[in-house]
Amino acid sequence: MKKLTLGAFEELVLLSVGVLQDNAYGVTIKIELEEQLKKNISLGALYAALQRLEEKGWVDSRVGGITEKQGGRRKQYFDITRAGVLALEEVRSMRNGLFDRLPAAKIKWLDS
Amino acid sequence: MNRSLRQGPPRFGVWLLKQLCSYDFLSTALWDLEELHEHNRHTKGQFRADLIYFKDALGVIRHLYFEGKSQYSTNTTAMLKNNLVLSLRNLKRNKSYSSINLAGLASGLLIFLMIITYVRYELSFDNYHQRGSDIYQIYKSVNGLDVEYWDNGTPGPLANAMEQELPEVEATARMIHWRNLLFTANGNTFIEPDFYPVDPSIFQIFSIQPVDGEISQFIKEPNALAISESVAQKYFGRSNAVGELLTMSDEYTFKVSGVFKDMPQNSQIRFDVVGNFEGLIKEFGQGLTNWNNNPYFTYVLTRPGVDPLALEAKLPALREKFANDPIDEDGQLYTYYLQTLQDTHFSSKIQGALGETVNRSRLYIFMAIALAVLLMSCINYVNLATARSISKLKEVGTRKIVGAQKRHLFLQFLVEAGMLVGLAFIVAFVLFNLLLPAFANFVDRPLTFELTSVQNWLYLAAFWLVLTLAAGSYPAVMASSYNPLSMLNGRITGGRSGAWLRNGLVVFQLVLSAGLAIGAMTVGQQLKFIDEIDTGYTREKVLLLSTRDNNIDDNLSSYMEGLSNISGVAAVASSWSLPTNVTSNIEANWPGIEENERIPMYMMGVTHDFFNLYKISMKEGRAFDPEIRSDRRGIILNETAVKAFGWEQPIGREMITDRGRKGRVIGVVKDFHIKSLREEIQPLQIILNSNYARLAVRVSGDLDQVIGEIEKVYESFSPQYPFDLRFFEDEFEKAYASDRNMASLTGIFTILAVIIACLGIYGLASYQVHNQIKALGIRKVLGASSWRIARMLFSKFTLLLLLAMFVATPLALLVMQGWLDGFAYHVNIGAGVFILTFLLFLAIVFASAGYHTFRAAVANPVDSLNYE
Repeated sequence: MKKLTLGAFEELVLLSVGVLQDNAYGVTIKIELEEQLKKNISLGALYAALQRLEEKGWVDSRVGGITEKQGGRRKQYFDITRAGVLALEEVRSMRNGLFDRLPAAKIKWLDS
Repeated sequence: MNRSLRQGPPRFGVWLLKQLCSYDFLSTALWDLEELHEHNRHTKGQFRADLIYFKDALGVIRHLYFEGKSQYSTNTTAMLKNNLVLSLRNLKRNKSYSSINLAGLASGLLIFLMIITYVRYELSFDNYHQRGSDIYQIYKSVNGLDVEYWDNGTPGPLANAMEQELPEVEATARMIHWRNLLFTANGNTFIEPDFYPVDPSIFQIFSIQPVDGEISQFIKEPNALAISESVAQKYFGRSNAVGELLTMSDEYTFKVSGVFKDMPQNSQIRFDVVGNFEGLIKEFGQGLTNWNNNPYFTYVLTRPGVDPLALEAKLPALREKFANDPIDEDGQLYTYYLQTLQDTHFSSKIQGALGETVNRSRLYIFMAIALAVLLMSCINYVNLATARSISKLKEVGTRKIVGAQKRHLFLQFLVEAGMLVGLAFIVAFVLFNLLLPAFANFVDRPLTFELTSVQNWLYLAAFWLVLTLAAGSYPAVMASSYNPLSMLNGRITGGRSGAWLRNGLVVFQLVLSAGLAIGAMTVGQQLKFIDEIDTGYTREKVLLLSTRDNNIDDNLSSYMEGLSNISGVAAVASSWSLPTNVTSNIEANWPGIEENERIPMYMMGVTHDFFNLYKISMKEGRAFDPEIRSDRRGIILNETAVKAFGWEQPIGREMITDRGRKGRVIGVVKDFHIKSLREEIQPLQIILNSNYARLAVRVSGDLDQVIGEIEKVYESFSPQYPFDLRFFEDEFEKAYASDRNMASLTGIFTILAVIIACLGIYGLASYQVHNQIKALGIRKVLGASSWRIARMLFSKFTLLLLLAMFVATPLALLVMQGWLDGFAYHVNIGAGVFILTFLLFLAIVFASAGYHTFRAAVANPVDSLNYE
């Protein structure tokens, strides 16, 4: 089976979905990401990323908030799955591993 | 609904999403977008919230279709996307088919774009004047002439009389055209080819942009000039030249009162230097009061909405009142008419026009031909696409069975057509931009395509759509309407009516291209005829010299003597006009003839060497002899004149010529063409007179060397004016320039039309063979030879060609006879042209049908029959 990869933007979206817990839907994710990244996020790009995450099985979605008034509109909530958490952890540990191998002297030199 | 009252998101945005998103995704996006909109509306206001809504909605749609998975889009849009992909794949797979179609469409389009650019430019002349529809130029007809005759010359007092008497007239301007005058300023000397003394009101009538000076003060003073920006640059090196001095012909000094922006190229008259009309006319002693002296041009600005015909109708009464020229049974001597300024570019029938005029019907002919070529390339697409749809039958049938509806298939075929037409557009457009400079050079017009003009692109887009529908509809309808069962069976024959249509279209193509070929050949023959006809005078090595410097004009005889002393100069002579176009006329008059019997004849004054120079030979009597003093009163007639007078013995007869002078006929000259070949040779008398001369030199030695010598002699007489010379041959050719132009264009059209027709026949042949492949196989099995099969297939095309020739021949004959009738001397269209065209097309038809026919003829019948 082909190894699933987690893109940089997807990672951020996945993290936001996890952080927002029960209240993760389009608008809240968008606002969360915009606050963190300090830049505008296109809703279309966000949907595309969520679609991909859902296909890979890293997020689940459920529908909520249908009321009479909203006629045809509905909230689609997203939850991070166990596989999603694992994927995040994997990326994180890989990154940490790489980071640890970065020579300390180099960092110091770059810092100064 | 009032914008400020609405709480929710913009309706159009919602509609857009609903159209383009599938239900699953739609509700999600609508919710999120609405929430954001609500939020933004409070923080950023309604307008910006709406904008953000649109931006986000478009972003969602973009991601759905192009970056995400199309499973979230609606059915129609998914189909469209699928159609595009499929069409592209189809085009790629059938490279030969696609490229043939592409070549045909692109060449048709290329021609069309070129011609439309040219025609649009010609039609745009003088369209930039703000009051354009109220500006008229006056022209007149002359009563008592046998032929219909109009010219632009008007009398001096007409303008003022109109302004005084007619309330419809807002302003008038009189103008005169002086050529080739020498101006000096700042030590810079140039010849100005056009100098227009004109009333200052012209700046109120025409829309001319001032650059320096107050436009209301332009040429108010008698010695004031106004010049264009480029002229100002030329003399003074800057545009703000008001107050500078310019000297004309070393005698008259003018002050620049204004500088204006160069007038656009598409102006019938382009002013470079203009002066004060009344001041200059007084200075040069020309009359302004005589109603029968017509050297002036008159422009009129009417009040808005004035009917030109009603105004025109008042002009005879005006003339009657002021010129004392009562209207009787014969009418008046002159009748005045109005033409709009924009029409002046097309009024080639009105003599004495300023600037080059263009025949409007010629433009329409070009347009018609360009459209026809385009139509031919559309027909090609139709034929090739229907032919090919046969090979796609199984695909289409399968799609139908799986549930594709007719309109889906229709759309699929249309999208394919649109794609191919689009590709052809791109190819044609790139070529068009590359070739436009060469074409512009060829038609001698500054043609450009404004890439930044949105309007141009909209035209192109609309045109693309029209062409797609024109080319794609029929094949799409055809292919989508077959019965799926018979499709999969492979039992499609296309139907009887379809065959009729396809054959008809090919015949139509053949008619057009054969007609064009006949036309091109006839034009070519006539031009060759013009080249080879004995005009009665020589054009070889004859040079025309300018005499516009007064120093030359005053010392003409010694200048001519100086020229004739150069070794290598065979003859030097002057004449009133060039033999190509004799203009002066007079009534033939001799003692004893009644006034009403006098016929009009042309007249020309020449110097002694004229006949020798142009190698015009005598029929009877002798030419002028410098040794015989009485020849000053001698008259030489041409053969036509002698015939017209009915004289048995012309030599020695007395005639009354110019200003009542009596003279004797001393010789008869062999007829030579005194006008272009469009006109018949008219009676002509030639007298000895060196005034108003056009000076010519015939060279016998080495041209370059002799020209150098001539220049030396010229400079000793005229140190001021730059040396200038023209070839008589070029002058002769000028009369036929538009014909040569037409010949080359028809040639190009013909070649393209033939190519497109070839493609059409190729398509038909491939269809034919595809369709009959099994029948042919059975024939072969039963013993038909390859040759027999080939002959059978070819005979059909020969029949179509015969039919096409049958239609094309009378059509071409009619049109070309009409064109040839414009020439008094012309070739006759013989059967040869038609036979040649037929044979040529026979070869072309066989060549383009040959490939498929040959393959079908030599094919092994097993290949086509092995499935039965």
